[in-house]
Amino acid sequence: MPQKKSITAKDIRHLAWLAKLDLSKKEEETFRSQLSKILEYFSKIDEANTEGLPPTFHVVEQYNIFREDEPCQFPSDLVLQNPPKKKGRFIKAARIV
Amino acid sequence: MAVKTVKIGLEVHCQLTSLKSKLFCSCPTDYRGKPPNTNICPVCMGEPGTLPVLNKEALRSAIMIALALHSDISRFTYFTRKNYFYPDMAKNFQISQYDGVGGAPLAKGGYVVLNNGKTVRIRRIQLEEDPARLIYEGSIDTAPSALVDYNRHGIALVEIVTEPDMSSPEEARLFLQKLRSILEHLGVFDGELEGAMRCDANISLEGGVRVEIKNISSYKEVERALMFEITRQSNLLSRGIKIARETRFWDERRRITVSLRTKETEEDYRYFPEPDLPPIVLTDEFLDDVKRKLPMLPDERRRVFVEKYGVSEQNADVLVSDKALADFFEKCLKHYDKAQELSSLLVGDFLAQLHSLNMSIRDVKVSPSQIAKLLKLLDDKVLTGLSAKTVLREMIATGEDPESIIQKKELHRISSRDMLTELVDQVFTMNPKAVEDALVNEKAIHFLVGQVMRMTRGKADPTLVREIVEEKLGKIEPNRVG
Amino acid sequence: MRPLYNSAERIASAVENGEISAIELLDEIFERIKAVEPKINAFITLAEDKAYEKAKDIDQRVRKGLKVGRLAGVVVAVKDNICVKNVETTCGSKILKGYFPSYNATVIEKLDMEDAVIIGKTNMDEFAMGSTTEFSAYKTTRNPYDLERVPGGSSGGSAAAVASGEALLALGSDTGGSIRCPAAFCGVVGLKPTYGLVSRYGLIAYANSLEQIGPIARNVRDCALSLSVIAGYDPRDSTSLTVQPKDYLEDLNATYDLKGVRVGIIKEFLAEGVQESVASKVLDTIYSLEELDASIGEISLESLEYALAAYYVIAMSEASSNLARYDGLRYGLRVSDQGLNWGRAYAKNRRLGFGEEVKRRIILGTFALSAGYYEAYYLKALKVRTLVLMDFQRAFKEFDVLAGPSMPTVAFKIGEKMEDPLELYMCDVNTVPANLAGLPAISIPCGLSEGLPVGLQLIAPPMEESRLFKVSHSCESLGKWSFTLKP
Ligand SMILES: [Mg+2]
Ligand SMILES: [Zn+2]
Repeated sequence: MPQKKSITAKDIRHLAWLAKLDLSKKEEETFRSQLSKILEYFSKIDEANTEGLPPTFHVVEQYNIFREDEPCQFPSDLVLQNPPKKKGRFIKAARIV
Repeated sequence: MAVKTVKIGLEVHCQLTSLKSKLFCSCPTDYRGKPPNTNICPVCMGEPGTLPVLNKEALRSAIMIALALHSDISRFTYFTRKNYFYPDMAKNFQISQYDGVGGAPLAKGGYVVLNNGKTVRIRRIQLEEDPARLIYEGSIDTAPSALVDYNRHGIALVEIVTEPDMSSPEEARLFLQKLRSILEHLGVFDGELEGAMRCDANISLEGGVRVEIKNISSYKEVERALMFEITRQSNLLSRGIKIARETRFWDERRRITVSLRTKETEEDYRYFPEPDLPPIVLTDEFLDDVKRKLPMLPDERRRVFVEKYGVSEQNADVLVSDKALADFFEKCLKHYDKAQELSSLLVGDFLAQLHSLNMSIRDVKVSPSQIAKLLKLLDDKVLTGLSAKTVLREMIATGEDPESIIQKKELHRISSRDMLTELVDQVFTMNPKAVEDALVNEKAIHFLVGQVMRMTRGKADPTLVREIVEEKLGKIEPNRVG
Repeated sequence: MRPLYNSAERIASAVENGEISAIELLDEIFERIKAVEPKINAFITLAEDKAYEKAKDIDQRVRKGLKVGRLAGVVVAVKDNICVKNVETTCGSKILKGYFPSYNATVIEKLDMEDAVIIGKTNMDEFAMGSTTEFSAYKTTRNPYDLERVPGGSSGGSAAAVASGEALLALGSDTGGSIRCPAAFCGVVGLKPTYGLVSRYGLIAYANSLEQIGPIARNVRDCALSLSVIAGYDPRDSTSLTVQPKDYLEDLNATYDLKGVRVGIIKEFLAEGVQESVASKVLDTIYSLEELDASIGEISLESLEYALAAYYVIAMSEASSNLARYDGLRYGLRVSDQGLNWGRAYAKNRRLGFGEEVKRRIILGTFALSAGYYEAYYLKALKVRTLVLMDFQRAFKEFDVLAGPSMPTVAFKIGEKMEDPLELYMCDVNTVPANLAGLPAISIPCGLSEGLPVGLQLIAPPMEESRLFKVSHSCESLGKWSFTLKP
C-alpha cells in the first residue's frame, strides 16, 4: 500500500497544474488545510478488509454494447453556435508555445 | 562523431479508414476536403452530457490487425481515460486503452518481419480516438493562436507500439511500409489518404536517454525526422553536451525538430476505466470467426508469387509491399501468363513511369488487359523496348490502348533491312572518325548503333541495326591498316 | 377544477378530456411562479415561449380529437444539468454561462413525446456538487417550508419547484442523494432509479458510474407515472439496461396488502448524528406498515461505515476527469487570454469559471487518481464498493426492501454548514450507499418535525422499482402525509 501523507502547498500547486486550475495564494492555503482533513477522513477506507475482492468499475454487469458502423450527419451549425471564439468555421485557441 | 548504436521505437497511429463512422459517434469519416468543423456532433465535440458508443466494426478491424501482427488478444478488455489537457482534445481526456493498473489494451506482443529480414517486436495494440487537427498561423512556436478543426476528432485510430528494435531510420521506414501493406491487405486501411498513418518515434543513441519525436506524418517523413535527430544528437554528443530527455516536435515544413517539453514537468495521465463504456468480453468463437475470415497477408502472398507464379524473390518483395500493386499484378496475370516478365515490367518501368508522372497506382487509367497487350506486342517484336517505355508512359497517363498509341506516334519497330541499311550508310558518312574508331573499339560500334536509334527515335530493331553495322564494318575491314 | 391542487396524473387526464386546456394550466402555473418565485428562487432559466408553444400544440390536438401523451399538459421543471436543446443550460456554474445545447437529453425527448410541458431549468449546486443548493453560481434556493432554510441539494430547485407548485413534476439527478435529499427536505417524493434504468444521455456528468436522472413528484403515483415515461433502454447510453419499458402505475392498485413483504431497517442509518425526532418519525411510519401485514426487522450492513468515504473518492475522481472539458474553447465562458499560452489560458478560464467547492473536488479527485495514490484511494474505494454491493446482496436475501431516514436531519439554516466541507459531506451518509450499489431508492415524506418535512428512504434490489412504489404507496395510504402547497 503506498504511503499516505498530509498534503503540502507544493502538492496543491502540482495538482492545480495537472487540473489546469489557477489558485490564489489564499485558496492554496485554505485548500491545503481542508484537503488534509478530508483526506484523513477518506483514509477510513483503509480499515475495510477488501482482501481478494475485485474493484467494481461498472455496477451493472453488461458487456459488449456496440453500435453498427452507420454514418449520420449532424447539423454542425447547431454545434458551432456555442464556441465563443471562432475564425470562419475554425475554433480559436490560444497560442501553443 | 560516428554513431554506433541507435535504438528506435515507434508508436504508430493508423486511422481505420474503411470505417464509415467515427469510433464513438455516428459522424461520417469523409472529412478530407470538407470545410472545417463539418463532420462534428455533440458527442465528438465533447458537449456536456454526451456519451460514447463503440463502433462495432472498429473493434473488429482492430482485432484483425492484432491477429495479423501475431499479437495476444485480451479476452477481457475495456477502455480507459487518458487524462491530459491539449487544445486538440474536446473532452481533455482521450478514450484509449492502457496497459497497467486500471487498464488492459486490446492486444499485447506480436511482431513484424521487415523486407530486410529483421524482426521488429510489437509491444501493444490499442484502439483510441483521433485528436482534432490544429492549424498554426506560421509555425507551432511562433503562431499567435491555434485554429482547431474537429472534423478528424473521434476517427478510430489503432495505436501500434513497437519495442525499440529498429537500428536505423531506414528500418523505421521499412517497418512502416510493411505495416502499411499488412493493414491494406486486411482491407481496414488506405495509406494513400493524407494523414491516415502518423507516428511518434523514440530514439536513443549509444544507450543514452530517450528522446521522443512527435508529429511525424508519413513513412517518408520518418526517415527524415530520425536522420535529423541523429545528426542533432551526435553533434551535441561530440561537443560533450548531454542529451536532454524530452519530447520534440517534427516541423515538416522546416524539416527540423523543435523542443516541446522536457520531462521535468512530467504528465500524469491518471488512467482510469471509462465509466461510460461497459467492458468487452471476446469469446473464442468470435476470435475464431475473425481469424477464419482474415484475407491473405503480404508474407503469404509473396510465397504464392514466388512458388506458384515463379516470380523472382526481389520482384515479389516489391509487389507485395504495396497491396494495390500486387492486386494489379494479379489482374494483369489473368491476361498474360509470363509472370516474371510481367513482374519485371511492373516493378521496373511501370513504377518508374508512375514516379516520374507523380502518380499513384490508384490513379492510373491503364487497365490490366492493356498492360498484357503491351507485353504481347513486345513479345511479337512489334515495338522495341525503348518505344515500349514511351507507350507505357502514354498508357498510364491517358488509358489509351497501346496499339493506337503506336499507330498515332508511329512507333512500329523498323525491321526493314533496306531501310536500316540506308540509315546506317548515312551514319557512316556523317561520322567517319567514329567508323575508324569502331574498327578497333567496341564502344564506338555502340555509338554508331545509337545514332541510328536516335534517328528512328528508338523504333529501329537494335539487333538488326547492329548486325548491319558490323557487316558494313566487316566489308571495309580488308582495307584496314595493320 | 383547480389545477394547482391536483396531481399530474389527474391533470393529464383533464387536459386529454378537454376539461382544462394546457394553456389555461400554464397561465395558472406562471401566475403561481410570479407569486412565489421571488421568495423561492427555484429557477435559473424559464422557457416561457417554448412552453406556450408546446401547450398550444397539445390543445390543438385535443380539439381535433387526436391522441395526446400520458403527460399531456403536465408542467415539468428540469434540473439545469439536463440538456434541453436551445435552452441555456448552465449546471449552476458560471463556466457554462451562454451554453445552448445542440441536442435534447433522451429524457427530454421522452417527456416531449408524452406531451409534458417543460417550463424551465432549475437551480442546483454547481455541477451537482452539494447537498444544499447553496453552491449555485446564480442564486440560493429557499425551502418552501421555511424560507430561512436550505431546500437540500443538489436538485434543490427541482424539489422546491414541485413543493411550491411552480411545477407539477420535476426531473432531478442523484449522484449521492441529490434527488432524495431535497425531496426529504421539501416534503415531496423523489426517486433514484436503478443504475442504467434511465438514460444518462444529456445529463451533464458529475460522477458517471454513480448517477441517475429521476423524478420528483407530489405523490407516489405521479412519481411512478414519470418513471414509466423516462425509463428504458437508450442506444446512446452504453450503460443503459436493455429492458422493456414498463407501466409502473399498473401495480399500484387501491389494495394495500403488504402480506409477505419484509421490511428491514438498516441499523447504520440510525447511527449517531441522526436527529431523534427524525428517527422516531421514520420508525413510526415503518412500523405502521405492520397494519398492512408487512413484517418489520432490523439488519446491520457493516460496510456502510466506509461507504461515505468510498463514495466521495469515486465521485471526485470521476468528476476531476469529467470537468476537464470546460476550457472555454467549444462552449460556455471564455475569458480574455491576451498574452497567455493555451495552458495558462485554460487555467485562468477555469479559475474564474468554477466555484470553490468544484475546485476543491477537482483537486481531490486529481489527487486520488494520481500516480502513487491511485491504488490507495481510487482502487481501494472501488473495492469497498464491491463490499457494499455484497452487503446489500446479503441483506436482500432477508428483506424485500430496506428502510431508514433519507437524511439524518431536517432542513438546516442557510449558511449553517458552509464553513466546513467535511461536515456537509456527512449529510449524505444515508443516501450514498444506494448509489455505490446502483440500487433503486426512494424518499417519501412521512411527517413533520417542528414544522419541517422528514423523509423516509426505501431501497430495493436492482430493477425492483415497482416494489418501492408499492410500499411507498402503502405508506401514503396510511394517511400520515398528504401534499400541501407551500409557502
Ligand atoms: Mg495514442
Ligand atoms: Zn461526432
